[in-house]
Amino acid sequence: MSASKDWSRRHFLQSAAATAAGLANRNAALGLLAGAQAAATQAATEDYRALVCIFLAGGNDGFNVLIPSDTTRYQTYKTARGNLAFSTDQLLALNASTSKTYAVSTSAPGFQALYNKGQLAFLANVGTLLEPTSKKAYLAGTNLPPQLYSHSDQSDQGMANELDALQKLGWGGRIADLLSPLNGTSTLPLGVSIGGNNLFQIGSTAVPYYMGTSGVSNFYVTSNGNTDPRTRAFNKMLAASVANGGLLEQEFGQSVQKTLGLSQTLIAALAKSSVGSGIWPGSYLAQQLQMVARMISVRNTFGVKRQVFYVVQGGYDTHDDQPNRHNALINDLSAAVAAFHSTMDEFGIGNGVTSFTLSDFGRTLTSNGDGSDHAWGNVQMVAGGSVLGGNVYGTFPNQTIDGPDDASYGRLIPTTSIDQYGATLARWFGANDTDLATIFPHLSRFNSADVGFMSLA
Amino acid sequence: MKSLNSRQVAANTLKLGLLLSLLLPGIAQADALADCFDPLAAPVYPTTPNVPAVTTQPAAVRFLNMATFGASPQDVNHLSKMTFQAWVDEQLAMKASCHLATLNETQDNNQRENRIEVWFRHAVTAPDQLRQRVAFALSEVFVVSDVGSGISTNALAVYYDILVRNAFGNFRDILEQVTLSPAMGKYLSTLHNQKADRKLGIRADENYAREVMQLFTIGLVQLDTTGTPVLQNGITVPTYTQTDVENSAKVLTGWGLADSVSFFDGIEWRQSMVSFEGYHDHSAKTLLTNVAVPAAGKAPADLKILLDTLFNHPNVGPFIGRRLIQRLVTSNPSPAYIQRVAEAFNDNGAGVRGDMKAVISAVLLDPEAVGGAKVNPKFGKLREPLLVLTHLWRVLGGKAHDGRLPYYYPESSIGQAPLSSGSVFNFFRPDYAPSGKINDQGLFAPEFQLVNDANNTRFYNELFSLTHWHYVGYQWADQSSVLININNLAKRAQTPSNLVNYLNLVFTGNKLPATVTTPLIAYLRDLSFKDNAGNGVNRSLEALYLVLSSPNYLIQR
Repeated sequence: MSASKDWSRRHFLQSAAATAAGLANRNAALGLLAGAQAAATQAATEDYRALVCIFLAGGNDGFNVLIPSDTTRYQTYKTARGNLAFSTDQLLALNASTSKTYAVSTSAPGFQALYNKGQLAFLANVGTLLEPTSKKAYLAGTNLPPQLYSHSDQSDQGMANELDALQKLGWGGRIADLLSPLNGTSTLPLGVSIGGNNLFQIGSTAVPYYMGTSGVSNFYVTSNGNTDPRTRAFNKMLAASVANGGLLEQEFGQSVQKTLGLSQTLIAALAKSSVGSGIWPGSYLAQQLQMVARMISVRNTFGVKRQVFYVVQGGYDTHDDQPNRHNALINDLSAAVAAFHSTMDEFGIGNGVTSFTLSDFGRTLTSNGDGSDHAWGNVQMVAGGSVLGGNVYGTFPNQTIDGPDDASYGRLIPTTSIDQYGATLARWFGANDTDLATIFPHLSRFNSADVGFMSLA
Repeated sequence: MKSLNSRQVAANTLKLGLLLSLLLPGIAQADALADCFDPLAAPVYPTTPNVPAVTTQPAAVRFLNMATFGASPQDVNHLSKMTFQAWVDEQLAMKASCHLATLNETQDNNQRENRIEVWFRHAVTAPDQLRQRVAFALSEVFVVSDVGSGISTNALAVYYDILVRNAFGNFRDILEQVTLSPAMGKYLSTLHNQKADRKLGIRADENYAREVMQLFTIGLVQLDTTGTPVLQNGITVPTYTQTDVENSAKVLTGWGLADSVSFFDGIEWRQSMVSFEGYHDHSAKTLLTNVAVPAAGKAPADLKILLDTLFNHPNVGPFIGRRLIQRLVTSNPSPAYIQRVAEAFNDNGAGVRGDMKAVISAVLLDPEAVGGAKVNPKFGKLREPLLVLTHLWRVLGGKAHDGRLPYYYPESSIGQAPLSSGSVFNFFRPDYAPSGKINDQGLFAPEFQLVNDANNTRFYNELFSLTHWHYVGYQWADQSSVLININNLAKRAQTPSNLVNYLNLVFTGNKLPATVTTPLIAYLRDLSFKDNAGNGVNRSLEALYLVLSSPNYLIQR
């Protein structure tokens, strides 16, 4: 781990500062928006935690999000990345306490600001692993994740709690399986997806509720209430298909019953929701995060103590035209994440909400002309008031092409597993050691179950 | 012309073709592949024989729901006078309705709304239904998309026509024309892919090299002819390695647009890409572990070796066979069914590999396709949202007042639009299974990847709108939108059971069980036959919506 060993002290100072800042923001919000923000006012001791998974679909080039900026490592980076490398005048410096310095690109001022105020951490060279590996093991093909470099397989494996399981479940879903009791009798599932169907939130029993960026719409045919003759006919027909149909009819019918069962409750609750007073960017990702913010603003209506959200930002498969496309994506991402956490601070719930990224895989350091290809180890971002931010966690890899960390063409061999990444988040969320061993069956294969980027205070 | 016999004409045509192909190297000879209907002429439907019925109506409905964009009463009547085999043969012999030709007759052939309208018009009204339906299925295998890709609308129409024209051709031709199309070239970056250059610090782009193997031909693991993965020591065997991807990427260098001078310029999206040897990697390469691509080969020669190698791989038959079965017939075909289709792919009976006519016949005329749940209890699939709309409009004559089908933004109402999936992995993956019993039993239900709370509400509300607010005679109806004709329903509505029985027959081939129809009939009886909108209108609309809403309709068996 490159993060310094004295993180616990700094963590104490940071979280004290974050709490103070959170209170200040909260008071400001109350002053400005008395009444409208009623739902957002929370006791500082409220037991509420939310994880927000931001899936970067297509394979984010994380090694062009976090760039080593000290002279030695920057030269290695520049050589490896060729025409994909950022020049030094395209970099925004990140605060540093050692001579090993980092930067983000000028597309990511939001990340720079969050990092420098201690609310954003990077996890370097994390990826799908069956067990700790090495270049030697890679070249020998020993115990590697199956179908490396395939979109569908690697995105599934990164979302799965056990990457080589025959029937895959998601680690967000397994968290929901185990921790849903914390939500008492709430009818709202622990998982809520604004980004559509995803393996991440599927547990052995847990299934998320899916909504769009504008929330939940009225289901016309039943909108006259359950005693309306049409509603009754509709429900009877649906029930008959579920009771007597085959597996496919049952599955479809039950899905519609689930939709109907919650839609009126959600519509009523969301009518009182808030997106805060800040300015949100207009991107699709920002719209999804706005919806997450609205749900969080009315969390008490549902009586939930724990929530896992899922949002998605597509377009990261930058084989072509990467400089333009990737900069635009990271610009949207960093602005949306900054707006989201600023809103959480305004709600006074900043320490209870952690967002984190996942992606299919990292990308080759080398250029294929004007883009990059599928690779493996990647950089992920974690943000929120309980993140021990302003640090780079994990082991930043040696970016020398054909060097000790390179599988080929700058496909970096991960040194931290998704299991360790997920377990660090899950422990903060409330999972104990037994839960963690259930959620991540392969966790014990790795040297640490906690990468250290979350405050457990 | 009397002095020329037909053989001489053929010889002269051949010479002209050779001359053209010399003048225009690399340009697809697509126009010669299949005759297109005249886009300005009224559609020509085959004449229905005046003979006693051979096929029952429910059987015809069921079959046509697999082989067309939804069984229309006209097609049901036609098929009832012949066997499934005769109907398929008749369709296989038909000319093609080509999309670009129709798009060119609209006001702007590069406007996305017009492409979508032309697609719906073909899906709902084209006589060559089987060809159109297979082309749509192929577009969900050989995926290109307008989402985030910057591919122009007319290039997408050109691409779609490759699938339409070759739907009954040979798979090898589909593979080559898809590979060299500007749309696919842009989508998966074969266009402007260039050889490694040390000074520039660049190497060949791996995008198409990987996906053409993983998604279009051989898949990730070795399969036997039943589509079952081959196991060695209990584990699957990869079809290719990362080195194979890197070498195939080198093969796929050096392709630019047909009017390009400098390699990187050009605007010609209608013709196949052409090779630029200055950008092609001429080193020796090895493909799939043991296929040699000799040094100094030109780009087209190298490409031929790659595509021949993939085409002749034993995986292609079961791989493509399973996908076509899933798109047209059922989500969980038996291994034996896949094997029969794979064998038809491997040899059409006359020693030809990849004959799509043989493959499609095998998919649709298989005992499992025809027998359904009686042959395989797992038989069935969820209807895709687009296919529900085309079905509704085919049964009830949906069209705007001018005969067009202007339904421009299906993605925002039903979550799906042609050539518009979020990625090359299509709207749904072949191995998707919703959690619960389907997944627990190791079964697949690809279309369920689009099913969730948000989409359910959106889809059901759109169905409500398309029935209740979009029929001819509705006083507030927008005449420029697609309207259905409910006369055939209203005239049966005095007796609710007649109305429901009719809907059950024409939409499902009598698949709705009594447990579903009984509460529907009871509800309709309580509605007045005479209503403000006209006799039987309200009953018709309610019955239509509730039948289309039923999981027993939405699951096609």
